[in-house]
Amino acid sequence: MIRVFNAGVACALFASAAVAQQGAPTSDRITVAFSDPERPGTLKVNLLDGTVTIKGFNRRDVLFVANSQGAREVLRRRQPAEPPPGMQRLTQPGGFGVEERDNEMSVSSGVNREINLEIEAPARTKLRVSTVNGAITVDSVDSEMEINTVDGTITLMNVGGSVVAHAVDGNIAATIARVTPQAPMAFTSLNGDLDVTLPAAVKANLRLRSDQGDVFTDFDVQMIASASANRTQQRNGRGVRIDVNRSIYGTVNGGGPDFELRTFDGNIYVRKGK
Amino acid sequence: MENDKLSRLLPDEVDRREVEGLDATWRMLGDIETPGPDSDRMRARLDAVLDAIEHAAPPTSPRWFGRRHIEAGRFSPLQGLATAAILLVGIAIGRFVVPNTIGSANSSSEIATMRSEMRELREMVSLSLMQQQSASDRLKGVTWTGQLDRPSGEVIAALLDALMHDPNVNVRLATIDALERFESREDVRRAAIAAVDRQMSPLVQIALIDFLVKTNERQSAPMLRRLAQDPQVNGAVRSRAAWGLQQLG
Repeated sequence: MIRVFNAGVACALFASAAVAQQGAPTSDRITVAFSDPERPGTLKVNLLDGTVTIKGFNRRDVLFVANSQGAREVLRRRQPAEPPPGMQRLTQPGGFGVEERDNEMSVSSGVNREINLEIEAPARTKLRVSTVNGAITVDSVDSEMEINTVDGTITLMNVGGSVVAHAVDGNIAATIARVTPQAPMAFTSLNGDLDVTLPAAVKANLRLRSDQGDVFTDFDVQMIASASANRTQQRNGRGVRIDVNRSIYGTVNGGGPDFELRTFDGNIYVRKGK
Repeated sequence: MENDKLSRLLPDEVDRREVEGLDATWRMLGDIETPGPDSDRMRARLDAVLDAIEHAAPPTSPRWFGRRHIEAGRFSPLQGLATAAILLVGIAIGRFVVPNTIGSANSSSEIATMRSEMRELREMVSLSLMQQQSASDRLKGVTWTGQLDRPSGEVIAALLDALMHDPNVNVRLATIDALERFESREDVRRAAIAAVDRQMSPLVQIALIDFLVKTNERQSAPMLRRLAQDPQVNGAVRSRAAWGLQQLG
């Protein structure tokens, strides 16, 4: 069963009317239930312009609060125009749609509309969030999460489960309080710093690499000679092998699943959590 | 004319407009384009399966055993008796001549069978993980291929498929690491060259350039030269390509 909720339509009239009356920014609110709240649902958010904040709560449905005016201020690329004499500025509704199907909720925004989404979701909701231009923040969610952004930053606070995150130009800061055993994780960026705090007792194989930056940790990392590390050998007729593998590969607390942290032009910090 | 036929078939109490409306809806539904299969991926998998069948060991059933006669329905009972007798004599000789080695031979062949079954199972698990929706599962599948003893062509095809098509950057990066053990294969190096142009992610492009330099793949030189001179390409990728060219000499 598919259920579609178009907050852009449902709330736009309300929002425009309210703004016209009060002249103040307002927000669109919508609550959507999962079709099977007993099982952890999946929340997919794809935004072009706009920030996404997801907080895990002890609740069964998902609350979406969209503040398009706030997003316009955060992401504004041009100076706000002065209202001509006798005229007032109206808030343009952000417009976003939510679709629920087989316990999977998809959120998308209209093109050319900046939108600030604040989402309250059940703490075990699986997340697949991506933005082109806008920060992503996740707080107190315990699940599998896949987070991607091009120009934004990624901030994960007090999260559990497993994380696969990539930011092209932004920093990634993650405080992981609980990990799913045997689940691999990856944090990668082209130009950003990676600052990841892991539980002190975490069992993992760390694969750390920064091409132009530095790598720091307060974990006791036992280095493993990786299969292809530091080998330079003659190969039949094809000349000398050139080794460019500069990854640090080591275990913490006896080893476990692979956690990859890779950045081209940033620093890497792997911190021991309290 | 079709409508006339329709009205003749319809009982009187049925509203004709409603029928026409339904008919129009059906027609519109018929016009909806059926999404085509993901042909690249399907083709890659089909090729891998065909490859595996072609390279599999020939069937072990003994042809000289009169199989053709059995198939043709000309199997003589005498032949069967003779075969059974020879089998019994063989077993008896085996028991009396080498009574002590039978047990160990059996168990070692059982162990070999179990090992090969385990290998197949591991391979199957890796392949199925690589098809999952969750990026974490796909990462696990890619990493697990590193623990496979002698991975089949299907595993390599799945890794190349992930390198080309996986939507997650981190899975594609892990795939390049996993493909390192197959660097001696021509098809893997060719795929790595082709993948550089198709990648949207600069980080994956840089990892691929490193892979090609590491394998000393001189055929990548024209592609690297083009990347190094293309102002549209990300600056870090451009300078990595220039560095790669220098390394390959």
